[in-house]
Amino acid sequence: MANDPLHQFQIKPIIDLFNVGGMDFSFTNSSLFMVAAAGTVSAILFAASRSASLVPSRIQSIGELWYEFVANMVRQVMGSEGMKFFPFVFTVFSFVLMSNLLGMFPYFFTVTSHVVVTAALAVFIIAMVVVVGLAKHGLHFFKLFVPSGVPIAILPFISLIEVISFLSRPVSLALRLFGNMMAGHIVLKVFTGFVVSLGALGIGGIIGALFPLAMGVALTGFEFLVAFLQAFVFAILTCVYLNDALHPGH
Amino acid sequence: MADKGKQDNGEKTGAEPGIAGPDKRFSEISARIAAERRQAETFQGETGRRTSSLGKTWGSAFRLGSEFVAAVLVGGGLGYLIDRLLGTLPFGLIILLLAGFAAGILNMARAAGRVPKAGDRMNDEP
Amino acid sequence: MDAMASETTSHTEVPGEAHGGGTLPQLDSSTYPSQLLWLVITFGALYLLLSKVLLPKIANAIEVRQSRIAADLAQAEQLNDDARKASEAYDAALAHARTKANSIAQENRAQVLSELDAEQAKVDADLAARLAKAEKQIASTREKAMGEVEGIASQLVEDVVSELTGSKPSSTAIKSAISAAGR
Repeated sequence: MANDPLHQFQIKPIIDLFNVGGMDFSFTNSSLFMVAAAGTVSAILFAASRSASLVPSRIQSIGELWYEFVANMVRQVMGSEGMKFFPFVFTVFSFVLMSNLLGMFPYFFTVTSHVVVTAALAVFIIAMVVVVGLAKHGLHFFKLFVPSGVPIAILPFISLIEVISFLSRPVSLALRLFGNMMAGHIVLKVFTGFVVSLGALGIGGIIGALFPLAMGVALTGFEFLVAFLQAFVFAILTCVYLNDALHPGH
Repeated sequence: MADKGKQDNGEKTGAEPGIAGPDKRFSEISARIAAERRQAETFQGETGRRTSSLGKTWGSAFRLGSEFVAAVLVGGGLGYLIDRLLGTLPFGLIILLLAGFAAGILNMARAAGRVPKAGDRMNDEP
Repeated sequence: MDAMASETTSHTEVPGEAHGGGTLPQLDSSTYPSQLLWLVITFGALYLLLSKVLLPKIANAIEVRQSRIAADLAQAEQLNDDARKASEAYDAALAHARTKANSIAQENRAQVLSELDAEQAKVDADLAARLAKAEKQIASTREKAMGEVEGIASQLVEDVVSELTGSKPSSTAIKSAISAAGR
């Protein structure tokens, strides 16, 4: 791999599929890792649910912990009424988590380090919030932008701020995940790149490389934490926003 | 008569430990069943509480910055778009950038759990 | 979001299709259609698989376990209650049996005592009757004997007086004399 820290984000076609109107829909390394993430999640959960027994096996325990973790998150934020969104939130959490974690392996591609992917997920979630909100509450859903108890004189300005705040949700959702994943990988690449280039300088360089090596190890641990936390934050904000669709402002 | 009284006493002292023993054991078993049931019921709540506290601390720490930046970006973007459509170049951008700034602060306050206004977000537990 | 999208695309159009170097591959919009298509395919497939097959199975396993635990606890409680009730019933039966045994013993004792008393009374009465009868007999015998003694005495007195005096005394005089002497 080249020493360019951005090289790891390069998208390369693996199989050229078809071009429609000048748009390239090839199966790329990104596509491969999307399939891998979805496949890994499915494989783990399939193994966990295959021999469902009263006293769970290890893999079954993992699956059930995973399930309960997300189920509690949904219940906590949206109440039991929100459990109809549980499969969706679970899929979002699992897909993002597995994409982040797979990206931690050397030479693996990180699907979530591309802003289109995170933006598409975020826009889909917000669109879902709007659709569910309108379907459930009709025009009352727009009360989300009209806080109660505000003087009529400054209400337009407050509403404008609320609208911007609402529109900023998908942006922050997308940028946070994308930014964290990209920045983490760049920093990792830079530090580990130091190790390689310093190590090539001889004895002094090898001693000097110990610091970036230690940093690299520490950062790797931190990036695993970030990979989990970003998936968690993405999922819990999905819950929070969907909760607004279920219970818009009073 | 004295003989009969003595015999009665003997029977009572002989029987009492036998009666008290099982009674104590029954209440012990009842307590254990209640404890198990409580544990089985609170298992979910326990994980849920830990989930939510984890989300509150780490989640808000990671949210604060991006919430603000996103709101400013959206404000600026909206303003630029309006200016491009209406040909009022600096004004829409300036006003909406300011509104975006305000929305960003509102977002941060909400992410920090200070303003629970629009909706009940994450404030189910005081 | 539209603003966001237009912003990013307007940015990417400037650097163009440059690969490598300083530009971000993330802003290369020529890769977007492929990424979006495959995201929809993989995410959609994962959603369908999870929501229709895998999650219900896991939920079912959890639910089965929870209901089993609840049922087992309920059964344990039931059995414990039954055992407690049985123990209480046993205690009650034991106490009842003990009081019953006491009362039976007491009753028996009283009955025996009263029977003994009755027997005693009967025996006493019998004895008293016999005694009275015997006394009566003795009295009549004595009377009879006394009567005979009186007859013999008067005969003797008559014989002694007639021998001594030669005259026969009147029987009334003899009788009064004897009774005076008998006193």
